[in-house]
Amino acid sequence: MKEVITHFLAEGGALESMALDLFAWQRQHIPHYDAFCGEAAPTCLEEIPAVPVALFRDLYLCASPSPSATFRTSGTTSTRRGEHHMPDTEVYEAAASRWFHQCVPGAPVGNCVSLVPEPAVVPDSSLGHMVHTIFPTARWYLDPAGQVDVNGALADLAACNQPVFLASTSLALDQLLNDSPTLSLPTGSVIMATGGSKGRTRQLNDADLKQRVRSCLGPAQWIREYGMTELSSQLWDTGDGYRPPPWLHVYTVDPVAGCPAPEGVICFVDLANWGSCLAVETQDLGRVEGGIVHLAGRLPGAPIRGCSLSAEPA
Amino acid sequence: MRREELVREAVQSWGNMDPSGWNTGLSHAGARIAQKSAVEGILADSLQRAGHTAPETLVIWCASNVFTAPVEWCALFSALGSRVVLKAPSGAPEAVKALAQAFSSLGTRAHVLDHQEALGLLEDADALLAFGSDESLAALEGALPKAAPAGLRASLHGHRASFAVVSGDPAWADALAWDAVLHDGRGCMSPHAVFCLGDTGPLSAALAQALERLHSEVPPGPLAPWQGSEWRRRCGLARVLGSSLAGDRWAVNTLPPREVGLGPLPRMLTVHPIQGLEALQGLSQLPLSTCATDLDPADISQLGFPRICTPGNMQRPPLDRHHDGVDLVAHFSART
Repeated sequence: MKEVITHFLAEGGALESMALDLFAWQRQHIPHYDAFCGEAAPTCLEEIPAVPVALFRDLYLCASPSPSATFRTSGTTSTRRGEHHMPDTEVYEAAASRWFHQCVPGAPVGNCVSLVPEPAVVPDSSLGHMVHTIFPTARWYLDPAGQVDVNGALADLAACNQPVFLASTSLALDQLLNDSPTLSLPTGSVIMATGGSKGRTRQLNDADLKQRVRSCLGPAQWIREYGMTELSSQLWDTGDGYRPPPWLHVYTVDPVAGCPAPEGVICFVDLANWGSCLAVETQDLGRVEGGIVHLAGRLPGAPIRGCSLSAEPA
Repeated sequence: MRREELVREAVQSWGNMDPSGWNTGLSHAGARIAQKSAVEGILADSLQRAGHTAPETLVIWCASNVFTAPVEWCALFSALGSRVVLKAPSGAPEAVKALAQAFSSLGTRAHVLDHQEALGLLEDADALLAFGSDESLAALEGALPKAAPAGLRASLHGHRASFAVVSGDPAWADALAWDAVLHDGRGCMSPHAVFCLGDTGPLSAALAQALERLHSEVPPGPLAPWQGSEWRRRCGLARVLGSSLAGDRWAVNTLPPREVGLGPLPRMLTVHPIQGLEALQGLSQLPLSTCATDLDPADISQLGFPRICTPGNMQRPPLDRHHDGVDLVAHFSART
């Protein structure tokens, strides 16, 4: 199955029939997913039983008994962290790299300053793994406790005379800009933010943060990433909403009824999750218009989670 | 007219009010039935307590999750001679305002105030009976040394969990389902889970039938958006680790006992098989309220529940009980 999916990522194809094939394969190879699905016999993408992300805490959703990688959620409000096991990370890496380069062509991938967890230090961070995949020579300035090495990162950025890619969470950016530094990143630089600040010490407004970034670091390109531990694919927003890759189907369901609705809880069918569980129900709200995903916050009452939790103000 | 008669009239008057617009979280029929059940429970009991002097002014700090909760205490202490002041939850004040209206001839007043403003109500109070989340009660308790007069007697009641511990006899299914349905799982007297000795199959099947029948008799209230997501999670977990019987807005999930600790969801009963009561020793670590059981209450008493009853009576506590282990009348009264 891995080869089939790898080929799909490279060459494209009919997403629905591929997803239904993968669903059947996963039922055969992932006992917990098979039991979860019960009598389900989907005939279209939105009928594939979507596993609520919270169940990644409780179930073993992997086609291999010995996964080569396990990514874990930040986990602040639950005693158990969600775990996304993968037989291997090759498809994950291909998906991350391929879609990033399509969405942000010409990004300075050889010159990256990273404010997300370093895989060598925090190997279960999917965000760190993604950044490392796209930017293998990244320089890392976030310690395992979630504190940004502000002086180190600013000195690195100040020394850049070529376009730089700053990969960060919203909270880490907030830390970096805490003392209102004044730099002017080289033309062609890109700043990526991901995650929110839900329930943390400071509540961050995306527009305010973007304005502060512009004020402190100059007019670099501002992009946002939307991903999560339980997915192998990412969505990128370069100014007009989050764009999913062609191997990722996004739809929304009514929060209470769980059936497809014009807006509501965001669900994914992700072929890149070939070895874990292709259909996932998030706790994020939003809508999909013209293939573009617009986020509308968290499901009220849902536990706080997200990548920004890796960068927590002291 | 004797004061107790006035109180009984007030209770009946409240019971005749239309709960539409009270934001009870229940369906209209469900609210009506909960209202009727509360009234019947109060009117069936004595409102007399010999040997105690009631506080002159009692403030009841009301929570929003169970709209009937303050009624019994308002009735009892009004009958004993207290002037009752109700602090209504700002998010859902209508039920408390209606209660004050019904008890107006007894001097009862309701106030819709935020937390800080409501502390002013304590200036003239002799006693405080408070219900709410652990967080809001911690804030209230922290404010008492400054806000309350010296000598104020307080009893604060936060989150509590209730369970059923049963033999597995399916004959009790209707009663257990009723305990879960009456307030749609709201409040500390709704069953968080059912512990079943031995085979859970017959009981779970009978519970499913009972919930299906009650769905039409007592329609459920609306689910909050997060509850829909949580509903799918729990049923999914049960399908994998146990079993799930589900219908239209009801479910009976069977799960290993290690999965206990979930708060109740409306019309969802979780059954945990246990081999013996020794498996439940850990429950005493939780803030317990009520245990419904068809076993020997003497055996259940070791588990640490302040109250033990038969299934079907979890939501109908007698008025002379010790609430969360506290004899409120004695606690608030100076002995004579």
